[in-house]
Amino acid sequence: MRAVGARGFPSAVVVDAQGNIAYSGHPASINASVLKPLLKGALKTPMYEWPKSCSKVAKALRKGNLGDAIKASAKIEEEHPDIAAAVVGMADGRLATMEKAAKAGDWLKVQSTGESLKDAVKVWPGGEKVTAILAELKGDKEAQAILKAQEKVLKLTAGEVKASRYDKTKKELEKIRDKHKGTAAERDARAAIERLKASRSR
Amino acid sequence: MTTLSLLPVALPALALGASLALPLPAAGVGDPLPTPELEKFKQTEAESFEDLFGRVVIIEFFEYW
Repeated sequence: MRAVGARGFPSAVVVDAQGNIAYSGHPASINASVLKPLLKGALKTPMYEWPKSCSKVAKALRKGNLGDAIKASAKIEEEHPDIAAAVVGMADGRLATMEKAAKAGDWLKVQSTGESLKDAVKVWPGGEKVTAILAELKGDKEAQAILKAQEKVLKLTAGEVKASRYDKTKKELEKIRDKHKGTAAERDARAAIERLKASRSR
Repeated sequence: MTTLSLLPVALPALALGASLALPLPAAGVGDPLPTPELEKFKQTEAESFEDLFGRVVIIEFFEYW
């Protein structure tokens, strides 16, 4: 529940057909204007009711292997164009997230989204763009420094922080915040400091 | 006397052992849904969240009182 920022009851999130959060808030506000645009392109048949001919696609998706799912979906494209389009749509959606993150300089998100697409790179047209964005990240020293700082923020605050390390952790986060002003690393460090403070006051 | 003399030793030990559980950074609108840890599905044949691939899903958090 906290992973999606829900803080009270009742709360709801709507997940679109590509697996992204499309709405977050009070369930009473979920109406036709929220849902209608999302239903366009969504599958009408749930995976557990897919025909046998789509079992390879389903198996790959359950394993989280998007590359194998894309390969298998190419074979059922004529018979089940909606399913094949949904599989490619998921990869396209992740690429869009990656491009948006690269534009915003959120290199940690670029890296994690790129990682989730690594199986698909060679078997899907968007793969070239993924490779290009990752190459841009690799060749940009400033981007590398931001990524390293974002990774450090994540490492410093992953799971639990020993009470005896509270002050040291806070200082390290403040150092990152001040060193990387105006970047995603500063944003992450600020948010982590807030979470750290909140965990102490609970 | 014994209890009092132990107190200053016992308290720092407790403080050192304590941990602060930090919530993960929350995903917001536009972010991929973090993998949900769901235990049981009812009134559906879905066995995992992956079975809902390509569908629009509403996840509601509520409680009874």
